[in-house]
Amino acid sequence: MLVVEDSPLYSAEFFAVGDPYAYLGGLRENDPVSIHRRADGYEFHALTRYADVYAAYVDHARLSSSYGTMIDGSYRPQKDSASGRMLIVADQPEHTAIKRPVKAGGFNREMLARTGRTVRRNIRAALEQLSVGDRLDFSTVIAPELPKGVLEVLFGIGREDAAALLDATRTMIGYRDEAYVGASPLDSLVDAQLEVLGVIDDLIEQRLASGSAEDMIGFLARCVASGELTRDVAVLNGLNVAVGGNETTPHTASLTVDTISREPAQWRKVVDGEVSSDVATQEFLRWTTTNSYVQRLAVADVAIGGSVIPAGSFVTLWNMAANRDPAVFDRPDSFVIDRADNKQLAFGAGVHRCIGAPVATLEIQMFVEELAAWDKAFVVTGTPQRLHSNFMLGLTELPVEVVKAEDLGA
Amino acid sequence: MTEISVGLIIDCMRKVSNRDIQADTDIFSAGVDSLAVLRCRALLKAQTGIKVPGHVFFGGRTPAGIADLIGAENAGR
Repeated sequence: MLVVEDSPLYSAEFFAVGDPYAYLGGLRENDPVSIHRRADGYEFHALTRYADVYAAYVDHARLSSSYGTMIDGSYRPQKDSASGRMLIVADQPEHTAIKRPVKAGGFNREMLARTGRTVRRNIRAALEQLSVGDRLDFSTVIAPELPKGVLEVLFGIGREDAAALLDATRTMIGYRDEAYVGASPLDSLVDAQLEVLGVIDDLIEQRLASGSAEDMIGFLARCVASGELTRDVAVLNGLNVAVGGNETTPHTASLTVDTISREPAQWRKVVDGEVSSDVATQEFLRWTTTNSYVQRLAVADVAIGGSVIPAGSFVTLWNMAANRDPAVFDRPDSFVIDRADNKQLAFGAGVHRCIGAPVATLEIQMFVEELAAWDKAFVVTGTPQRLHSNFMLGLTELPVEVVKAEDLGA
Repeated sequence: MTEISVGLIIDCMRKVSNRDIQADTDIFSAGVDSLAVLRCRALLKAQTGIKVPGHVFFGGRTPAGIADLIGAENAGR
């Protein structure tokens, strides 16, 4: 099995300025299961084929989430301090016990409909304020509108509080990127994490006092009151949902705008109604794959992709490589806006598939529909700056100019 | 920030963690997590009106170290 010393997969810089898709494509082709080491002794196995990534997601009993889902989440194979108490780092049976109330409170049909309406309203209002000739950074001015609407509905907070919460979660996930933090990244990370926990704990306190269960926080507070969840579990999962929701769809939206600007002829098919917004949304999700990988720990020997990964190994599941696997996708390295039967893995699979996937998909679809209906369009005018992160594929800067819709690609 | 003493930090840490915390106990090795830090910070704020930033707990690691950092950050202002 290929062993890569000082692997670029550890490097945030490589993901910002290098070509991680090409590197992972090479692995998928020649070394679909490989080992990646770092000078300090940390190592993980990397899965790059769609079939192997999918099989690993489904094998959640032997590939545990309890040890952190990011490289460096835990340095040694040691459980995360929130293990068993927060969805993303919980295995069975705790995972199911937490998932039920979070899903019932935040991701039921009615909440989904309310979220969709709020997100659409926010996007439309933001677009309506723009005039032809305006120049702006899409990633900071417009993209945050997507999760803001979700926060308003799920957390029951106003637009200003939603913006403050967004700033804090952004610092947590982007703490290695100087665009978001100053000179002391770890200080910024822990300060931001405590801020988010504090905001959510305050909200739960308020809902416990008022008894209101109109939003997800209120529902979780009710579960705390009934004894189904401890308050700590409610707070941790509030944080999980806030981070998961905030730090993904703005990046997807920015990369979507960048893609539209590069592919005006394909985008025209959506504007003209030849391609439906849900089909286009699936391809934007495949093409952008905002969450590049997740990590698991093998708690038993696992045979996968023709290799045996020994118990005690960290295993990384590369969504971004799976979503460009020629065994599953025709012309995998091309953006094909009307791609049929799109089995993209951007949200993972199995019991740990992103609980917010329906909301995130709806957000992007609302965004696509509002952009298509807009009488204007964004043209990228400068070099997009990619986020310094090997975990989230996003943009920290996307300079755009507003043009008349008919002038896009003209 | 000088009115936050080592003794007060120890009291609050013991309340939120139910552990025997001393001035030189590494609170994180003793099993204190982010939520316990959050509760401890709320107790400190209730008693002194001061909101201690998260990085002071994580940088200080012991009640004595945390009190030192609070003093140092205060002196720098």
